[in-house]
Amino acid sequence: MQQLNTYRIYTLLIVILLVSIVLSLSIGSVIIYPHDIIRSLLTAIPIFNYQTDIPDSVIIIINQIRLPRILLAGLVGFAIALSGATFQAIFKNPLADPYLIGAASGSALGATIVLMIIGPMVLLHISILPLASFIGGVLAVGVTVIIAFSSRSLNSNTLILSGIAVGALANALTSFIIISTNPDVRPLLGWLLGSFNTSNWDKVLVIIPYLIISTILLFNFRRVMNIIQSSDSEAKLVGVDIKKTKYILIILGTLLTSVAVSVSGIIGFVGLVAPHTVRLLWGYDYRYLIPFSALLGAILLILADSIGRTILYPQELPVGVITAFIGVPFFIFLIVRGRRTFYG
Amino acid sequence: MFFIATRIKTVTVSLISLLLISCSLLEESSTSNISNFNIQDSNGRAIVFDNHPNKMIVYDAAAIEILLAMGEGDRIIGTHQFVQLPANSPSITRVGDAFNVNYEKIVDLNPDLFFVFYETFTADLENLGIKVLYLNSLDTDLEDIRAHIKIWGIVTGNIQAANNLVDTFDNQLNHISDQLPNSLTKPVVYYHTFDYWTPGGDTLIGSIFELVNTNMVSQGLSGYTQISLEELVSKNPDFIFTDKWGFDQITSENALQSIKAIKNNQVYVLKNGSLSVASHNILLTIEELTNLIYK
Amino acid sequence: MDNKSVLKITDITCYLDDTKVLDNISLDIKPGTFNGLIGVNGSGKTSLINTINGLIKPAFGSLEIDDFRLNNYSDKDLAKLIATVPQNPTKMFGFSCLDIVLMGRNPYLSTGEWPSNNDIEIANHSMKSTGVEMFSQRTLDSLSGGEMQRVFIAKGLTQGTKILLLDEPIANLDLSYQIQIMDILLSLVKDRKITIIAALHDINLASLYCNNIIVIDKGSIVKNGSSKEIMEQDFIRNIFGDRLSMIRIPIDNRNIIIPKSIK
Repeated sequence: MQQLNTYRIYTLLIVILLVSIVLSLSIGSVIIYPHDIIRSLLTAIPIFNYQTDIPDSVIIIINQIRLPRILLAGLVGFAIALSGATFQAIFKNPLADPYLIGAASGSALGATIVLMIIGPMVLLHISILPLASFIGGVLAVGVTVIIAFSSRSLNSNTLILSGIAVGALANALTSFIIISTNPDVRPLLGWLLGSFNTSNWDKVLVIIPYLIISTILLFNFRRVMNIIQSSDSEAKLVGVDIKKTKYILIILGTLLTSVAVSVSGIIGFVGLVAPHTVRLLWGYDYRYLIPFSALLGAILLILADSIGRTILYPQELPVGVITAFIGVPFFIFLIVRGRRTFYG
Repeated sequence: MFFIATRIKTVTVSLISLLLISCSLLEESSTSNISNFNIQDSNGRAIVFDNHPNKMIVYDAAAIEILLAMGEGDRIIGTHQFVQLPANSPSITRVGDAFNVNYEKIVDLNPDLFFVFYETFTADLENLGIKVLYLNSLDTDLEDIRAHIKIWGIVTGNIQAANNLVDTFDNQLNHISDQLPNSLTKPVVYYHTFDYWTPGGDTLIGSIFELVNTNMVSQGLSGYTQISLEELVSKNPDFIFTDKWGFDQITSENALQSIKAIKNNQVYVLKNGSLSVASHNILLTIEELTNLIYK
Repeated sequence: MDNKSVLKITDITCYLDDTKVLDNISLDIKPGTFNGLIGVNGSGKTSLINTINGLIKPAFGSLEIDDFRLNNYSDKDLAKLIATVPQNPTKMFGFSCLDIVLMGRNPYLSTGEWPSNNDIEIANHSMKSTGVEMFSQRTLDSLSGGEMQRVFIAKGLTQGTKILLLDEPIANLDLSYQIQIMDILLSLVKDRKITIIAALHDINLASLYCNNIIVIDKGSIVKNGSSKEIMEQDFIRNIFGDRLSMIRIPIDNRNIIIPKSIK
């Protein structure tokens, strides 16, 4: 496989990311040009004590509406893509997705339960939701693993099968809770469709620590992720503790998914499209698949959300709709092109 | 998600045809001796009645309110779970929620009419031999409310009570309209529900806000949509109305603190009646609105 | 001469699901030997290999390397003592040969650590020993069966172990490649002084190359000895029946087995 000029690719992705951020900051109800963007940002940093005559509304739009939203979209895209790549490593299947072992559905269920019990007051206690999501996600994944494990092997197929069952159950429970508690389902619609409309700085700050920890830990496992692409026995024979490795990866992947779900609902396709695109362009080595997927995921979701909030302005199109519009043709293209990208 | 349906105004069409039918049948009688009549439902089918139903399951909060106001509450034997009855009225059997009906219970009650405003259950109920009247009223306006009341007059035979109710409705509405100040600058309002879903200009809520001489932020939008925060900031509403679910969200949103409505504490949860139940009681809400806006 | 065992297998009995696959096996493997494990399919060759390398836990008995019990080792430490080239190694898509060979260095790397220049040196050296150093940057799918096998052997070598186990390393290869690999294995034993146990199906090749042949049948050791001892008329007839005859090659002073002529 060809040697990658990895520095160049990192640079390319980071530049695209920055351009996406600036572009997204400028579009919306009004176009705000970079010099005004910078001025608005500067007023937010107390040290500089920056004075400017830009209208307050512009400053609010940049600092309170667009910036936290774009950052949240980027962080969530980063998390989802990273989680997708991780689950693909665990299952040795490029079509694996946090949905497949119930992680996303369980997270949504956890958050739904908390939201319905505590009510919208939970908004003020925003830090509860990622925790509730994570607990839901981990419980769902835990049940999945226990079921699969009771067949004496933690191999891909049994995990996926029991994950589908657990995911379906979690979805059904979520729907049941929504239906029985409140006839007006609008309060929960955000979860189901995935949306960044209600982004704010609290959400951004809440997910950052989880993201940092998970990313650092996952980066450490890249070499081992490569090794487990052979088989469980071959990995064990070179000294990899398969069970421990898979448990850790599952937990980290679920943490990333559930944190993302807790702040923006279930957003599909990014966890598949980003890693897949990286594979097509730059290969299968997890050393690069991991960081490149994460960056690409951030870029994709920032752009998708920007499209969603401007294309029908002032109406918001949920970002999940946009990602579906991107994702479905992508997969049709893959199917038509042939199966050369799959293992074996 | 029947509250967020699209804006097909089939009810207007069907109600107009109903009125034509009923006009040709009626001749200035206070109670109808004519118990043979047809009502065209929202699918364009004629539902044949050969008597006035006495045991009705009315799966619609608005219709319940209307019937109770007309004094025809005795004809109601069942409704859905989330209808709230006035304080001293006798309880009514609940036969299901928005998404599920208890078919066995319904068959057991043996109704002579099942009235509903969305189509989910109609086919199944008809297969069980139950007469179903389906009138789509997901997006009504005030004219539709009047027609709705008159339909119940025909169905129950109590034309007098229906007409009285309509007259009272019109009188009170005119009273409210007369009291509205004539100003060139209309107040800007935003109706907030959770996660910034808001009704557009073509909804019932939209027509009400138009009636009380205000401009809705979501005037140009159709049906229920999610609105951008930037639009709220730029339109800068004077008043925000919401429900109990949305109050905390809208008041605690950092980005919106500069909006007039929030700065001046003009965010209200409506207490009287409901903007989503399309009955005559909507007047209570309209009255509350005008008091809050034009006090 | 102190000929201590490098691997001592004592009374090993193993079950897979509820079937007994190894029955009271004892072996004394000497260091620096090329051991051929001969047996028909299902005789227990793979089970024995997988018991030695720790994939299968024996129900009874013990395994010792240099007098230390193997069940006390962690996976990582065990991987520094024993390397295995499995029967059908996963042909990993999208990785270069060097990447695959470098995976053999895992026992010496902590989780977040990447291979050092030293590790890469070792990998290159292994690839040289098996004659695949020119495929360093190529992917597996561009190689022939024999070339692939040599890459996997290089991966095993990179683990730097005393003992190398191979499960049917030459089964699907052309004869010339079979010989090539047997030559390589023999040279590894001679040059690097490692101990090899290879499951083989060709008793002629085994008898030619191996110091020691272990014949296994239905989970038990039938015979264990030098090629001369194994390639003995009566024993062979017992094992292989009457359709084979043993003939002598005078030049090499050894016996081989060939099918009897068809009547």
